[in-house]
Amino acid sequence: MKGPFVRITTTIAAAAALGATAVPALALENEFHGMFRVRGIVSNLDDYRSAFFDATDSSGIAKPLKNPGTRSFIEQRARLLYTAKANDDLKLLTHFEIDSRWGDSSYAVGRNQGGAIGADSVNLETKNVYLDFNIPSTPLNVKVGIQPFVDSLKGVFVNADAAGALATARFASGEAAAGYFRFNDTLPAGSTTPGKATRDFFVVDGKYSLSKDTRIGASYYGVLDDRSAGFKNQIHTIGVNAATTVGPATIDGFLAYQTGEVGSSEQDLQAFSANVGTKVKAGIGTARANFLYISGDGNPAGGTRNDFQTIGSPGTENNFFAAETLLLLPHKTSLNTYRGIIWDLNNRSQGVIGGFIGYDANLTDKLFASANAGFAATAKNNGNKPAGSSGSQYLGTEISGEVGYKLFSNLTASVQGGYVFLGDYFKGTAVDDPGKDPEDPYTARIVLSYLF
Amino acid sequence: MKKRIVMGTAALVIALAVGTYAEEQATGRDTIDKDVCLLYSKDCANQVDSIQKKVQKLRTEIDKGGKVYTPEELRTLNQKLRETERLIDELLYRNGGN
Repeated sequence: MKGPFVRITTTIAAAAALGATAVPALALENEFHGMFRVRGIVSNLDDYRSAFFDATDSSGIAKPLKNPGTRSFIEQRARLLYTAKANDDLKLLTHFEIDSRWGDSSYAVGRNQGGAIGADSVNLETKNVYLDFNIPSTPLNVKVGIQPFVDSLKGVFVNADAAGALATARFASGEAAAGYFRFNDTLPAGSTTPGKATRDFFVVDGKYSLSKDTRIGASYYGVLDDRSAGFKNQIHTIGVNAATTVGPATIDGFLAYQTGEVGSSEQDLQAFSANVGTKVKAGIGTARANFLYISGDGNPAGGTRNDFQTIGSPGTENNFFAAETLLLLPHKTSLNTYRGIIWDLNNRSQGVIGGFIGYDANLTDKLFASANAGFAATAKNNGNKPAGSSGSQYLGTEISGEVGYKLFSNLTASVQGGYVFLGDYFKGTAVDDPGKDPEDPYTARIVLSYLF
Repeated sequence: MKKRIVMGTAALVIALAVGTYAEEQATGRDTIDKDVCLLYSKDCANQVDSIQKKVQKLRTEIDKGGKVYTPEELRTLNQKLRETERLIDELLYRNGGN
């Protein structure tokens, strides 16, 4: 009995030892990160919606208004990011979101609610689910699935979550990417055949470092949209971008040209967008400035379209967060409330001319503040302007600021405030008091933000 | 007699131990032996870094430069830093939709 017992014991010990050594190689690393932000808002524009300033709201009341009333509410958002990491070369990323406005509804089924007494709502949104892996013995990284994508034009064309595949080859001096996304695959009424009415998106993007301080890039984005019967939209966007550091200053920008065909009458597309921005370390903080141009069209029904096409529908899937404005353009920290004088950068085919300056100061290790100013105008006015609008293209000027305090390294409390002096574009356009000017938009927000 | 000596010694040992424990509690000595993970959820061996801590650690390692890492390793660290910063942007900031 002794012999077999020893052999069995030895075998078990060997298996255990083998298992012990194998554990690190087989172990799946579970990584959780997330964000929680709550905002208390008092404003005559913010209203837990995502829309243009002069859009008609859910109650049928059109903006702009001379007496918009004061809205006061609290909204919150949590984001949970779970990564199942097999190893450094293979991981699955999932990203979820839960939004509510305090007191909105309970025991409900649907997104962006569940903040009323009782809570208990089915309100979990899935933002991203994608596989991220490196192909062995190559410089290639591949992301496949519903993933975030932002263009190399600071997001003015597209900054969205979308389903697709993106392959990126990384080299010592740069990277090159190619990808395909299916934005939409609508089944027309009565059809059960996928792939017949689609909006597809193609990406070719490259970046090259000329030196440690200077980088240049070029990109092509193609949109083929045949969701409408009888015609196909083709939007080809070619862009160049660059960034350089000179002493305390960083300068970056882009230039993009669009061509193609849009609309049922197959209008020729010729449109532009451009930006130049800078950040300069100065004193206890950083000064920044940005200029943005998005071309518009005075007559979108004409033979040629000159308004820069942006990705949207049903919402807006583009933005220019470098502006750092709270009301002229929506702010990057916006939650469900996502309002702006210019909500979508196509701006109803009128385009944008904007200039923005600001200063971010670190007053102490924990206390920070920022001040901003910006102006905006349409690049061209057209029939989409509000009824009664004068010929002015001037949309308005914003002054805004923020003061914040880091309670912990990952918990920040801040107060934001902004005011827009509406321009003559809106003069005499109040819909609740014809011929009168609408009230200037303002917002005051208390923000608590936790990141882990 | 032996039994009494053993019991007396045991009582003395217990009394000394209790006294020492009480004194440690009062003075805060020997904190190195305290389980701060259990007490304060701090320094847990199996804890996951917060995303800010991850960025901080990556920057610290990158700053060590060529004296510690090969160029290839530095590229890997820089790539991980960019990816982590991108994740922070995705968590904190809005992108598309509602």
